[in-house]
Amino acid sequence: MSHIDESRMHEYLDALERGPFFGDNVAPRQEPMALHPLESLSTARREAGRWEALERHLAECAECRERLEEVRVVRQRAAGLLRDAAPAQISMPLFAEIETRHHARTRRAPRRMVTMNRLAAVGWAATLVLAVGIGWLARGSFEFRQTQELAPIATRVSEPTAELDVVGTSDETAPTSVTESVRAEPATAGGRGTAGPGGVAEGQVAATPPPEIPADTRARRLAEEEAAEREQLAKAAPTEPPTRPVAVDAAFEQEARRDAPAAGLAAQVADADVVSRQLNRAAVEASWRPATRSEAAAHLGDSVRTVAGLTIDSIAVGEINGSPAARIVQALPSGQSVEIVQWRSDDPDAPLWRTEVFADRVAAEVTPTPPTTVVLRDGYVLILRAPIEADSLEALAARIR
Amino acid sequence: MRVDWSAVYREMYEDLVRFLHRKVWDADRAQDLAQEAFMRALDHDPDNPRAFLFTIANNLARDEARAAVRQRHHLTLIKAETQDRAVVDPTQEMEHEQRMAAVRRALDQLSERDREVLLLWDAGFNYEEIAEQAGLAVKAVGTTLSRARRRLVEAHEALEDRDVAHR
Repeated sequence: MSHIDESRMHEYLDALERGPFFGDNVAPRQEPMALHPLESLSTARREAGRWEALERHLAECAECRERLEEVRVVRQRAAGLLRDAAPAQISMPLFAEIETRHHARTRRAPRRMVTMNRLAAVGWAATLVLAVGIGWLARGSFEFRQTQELAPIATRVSEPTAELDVVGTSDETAPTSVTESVRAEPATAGGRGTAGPGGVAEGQVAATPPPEIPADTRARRLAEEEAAEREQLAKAAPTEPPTRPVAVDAAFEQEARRDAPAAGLAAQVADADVVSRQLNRAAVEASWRPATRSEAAAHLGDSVRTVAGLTIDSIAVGEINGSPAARIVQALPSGQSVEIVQWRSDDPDAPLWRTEVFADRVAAEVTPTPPTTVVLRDGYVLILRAPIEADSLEALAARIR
Repeated sequence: MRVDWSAVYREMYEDLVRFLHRKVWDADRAQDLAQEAFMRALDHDPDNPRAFLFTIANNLARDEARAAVRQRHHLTLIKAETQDRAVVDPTQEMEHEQRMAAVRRALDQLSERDREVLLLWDAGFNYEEIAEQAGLAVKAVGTTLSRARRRLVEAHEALEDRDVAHR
């Protein structure tokens, strides 16, 4: 009887550990299991027929079973030695830092001209023209966030909050203090069709963070402010163009809900003061200038964040608090728009960059103020407001790339 | 579909550092090179990000070995955010260093090809990927791994026996 070659035994055990060899992605490594060879036969059946002859032989040959155990020990020993050769500690920087250094380096390095054929050059030029044209056309239908628009948000959220549930999403019935504060910026900030420049509340630009306020006083104050703003909106309503009703995109929401459990948002409890500081934008220069994606990335010194799966309507660059910012408008399948404002703060204590997502078209009839969620993830802050359900909102945040 | 480098980074960074560490035998340098490899990869959209990254890393490690003088001014170690760093016991650290030195000596006794194949397997590559990286036929990978593991274990045991005999 011919016996199994030692290298074949290694292949067999490697297949048990890592799956089929050819054309498959590498599965997560596992410790080689100290199974009886006959037990391991069951797992080897993943590769139908590949190891049948070997398994039959192992079932019949005690000597080969014994040698298989020896090979298993050698594999385990070798793996253990290699683990000993690994660094005791590996510190992993944030990926955003890698990207930033990369962009900084490419900005410093002389640009290498990429040779393009004529067709690619024409296509590139056409894309630029299209992007600028869409951005120019979109300007007319969108409310650009002026200082007055953004500052009220800063005012609201600059009040320290007792808790910040970064995964929890608010709704009308169970608001958290942070979501209350952000929701206190209703259609004036979110609605493109709800108010012209005259209808936007005069901004209260908070130059410095307000002092600590007790939670109950804060809640009462926020409720009063919200009521006052509703009243103001109601007065302005007759002269304002009718708001579009909520067109909840069922298909998109369904997809988002399906993705939500796997979204894997990191539930980090944020320091409310840090969030306040980050969001307190005293002065916003909102002179948005149309730009291409690469120009926006160069402007930010960072890659441009967008919601994966949505088309981009326009891209613009500007400054917020003197720091570079980019504004991206993306289209939801329902025809509504989602705006992402991304900017980088020079605050050394703050995460590297932040993203705000404001969904368009607040539907006053259904929800005067949309559900809101605040998320801290990978070193940036995400504020989302959208006339969609809470779990869809979370899934939307998880799609930011 | 464009490569999601942030996901690749989270999944592969530590593997890459361990792989490089066994080539340059300097933990800080290994992290330098791993970060450099990712920075160089960001502009690309390869079909196999893992293989692409390890190719870059391999080249960097090879250049590192050839260079007479390390040019550090292009590779600045990014200081990671302070996580929950375990305080390392000096005794444990010394023992780890000794074990690492022993493994290094044993690995040095392998041929370059055997060592390469072994490290690629340990880094999570499958046979096909190892064959491509190492310039081998797929069918030769099992034989090479078999030989490399056996020689590593035997070399380590021989060195341990020799160290014990000298005490």
